[in-house]
Amino acid sequence: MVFFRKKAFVLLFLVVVSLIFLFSPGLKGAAKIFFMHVLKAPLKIADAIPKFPSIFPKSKLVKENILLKEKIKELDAQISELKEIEKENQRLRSLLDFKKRREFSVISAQVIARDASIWSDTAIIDKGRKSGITPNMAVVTEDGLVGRITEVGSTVSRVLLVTDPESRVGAILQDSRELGIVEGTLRSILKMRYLNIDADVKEGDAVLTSGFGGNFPKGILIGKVIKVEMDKSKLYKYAYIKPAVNLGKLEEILCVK
Amino acid sequence: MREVNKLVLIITCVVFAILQSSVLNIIKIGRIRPDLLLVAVIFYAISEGALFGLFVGILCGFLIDVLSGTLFGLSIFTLGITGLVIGSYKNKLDRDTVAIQVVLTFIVALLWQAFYHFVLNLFLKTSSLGNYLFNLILPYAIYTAAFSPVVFFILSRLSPSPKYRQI
Repeated sequence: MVFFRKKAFVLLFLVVVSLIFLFSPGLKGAAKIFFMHVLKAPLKIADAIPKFPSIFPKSKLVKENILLKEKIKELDAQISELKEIEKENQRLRSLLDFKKRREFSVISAQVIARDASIWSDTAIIDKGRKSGITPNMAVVTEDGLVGRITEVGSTVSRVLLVTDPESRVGAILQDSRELGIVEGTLRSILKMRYLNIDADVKEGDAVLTSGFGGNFPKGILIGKVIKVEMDKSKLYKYAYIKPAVNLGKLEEILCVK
Repeated sequence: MREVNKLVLIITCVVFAILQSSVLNIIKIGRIRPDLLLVAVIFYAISEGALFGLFVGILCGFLIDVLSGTLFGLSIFTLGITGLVIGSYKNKLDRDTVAIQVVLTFIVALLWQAFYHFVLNLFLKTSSLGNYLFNLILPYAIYTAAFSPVVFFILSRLSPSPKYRQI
């Protein structure tokens, strides 16, 4: 009997503690940031372990393959950027504006940990307030958009990746200039919703940030359309997008000021 | 009877959490990697009983909440309950049998994630469980179950079975 009373008391305590955390954003934010700082050093060490050079030397073909794949990615990003420059020139007839838009300053950081749960997709980086990181900063790599900053500590921060279901990014199709919202799906693909029913959208179309909402600078490559479908409501189309960045292998990222 | 060293337990769970968020990314399949912390909860719950399972569930849930972007408190709550429930089967399950380790981990992983999704849905509007079952929960349960004998082996070295402990 005493055992069950003790168990019930502990259970009640657990429920109360969990509810306090769930309903007090300030408390849970502070607790998370504090323990992220505590775990920063061991996470950095653990993160470095897989980066040790492989004990098996890579064959010439494998090395060549890796180099070529990197080159293709680089060229893809360049083509996408060039197309965007062309469109921008046609519409605005002002290269100066485009240059200004691209002239954002960045803070580089290293990813030291990935999300421990399967229900969210975030990463912890080794830079924080002291380095100039602020909430809602856009996070990118040379390949495209990664996500945005959600929690900031003095020397660590959390990045909400575009694949997280809580992520929403204002997006535009590069060719047809159709607007939509890109959402995370907890899978390695994204979903662009609210495309006009008569929108000209096809496989391979590049999707860029629209700049609407203010969190993300305009023109950052999000990914490419791989499939287009009609919504059940028949009111709009949606497209599945393959992210431009390989989010499974994030190491170095740039936070856009 | 010699008890489980709480300090060793806490250090083990912290190390597991760190490995899960970093090193285990190299064996990730898609977004899925084995959940060391869930296996630790199962191991200690069936070895030590309900209250201990509850304690380890809270500890591991806390570590998951700190290292993830989901609602803080959700893993503490759901994993705590999970540890408490599994712990009630303490004397009915033999932790040293590999088949039990794998099957139990698979079932608990499925049920815990379903429970987690249910509680998450009370706070945030998410897709239905069916949408996540085949591409997230099932692969997660299979991978974690397949990996569980390794974790059970490591943990059994650190915490000998109660039946082998000296009285």
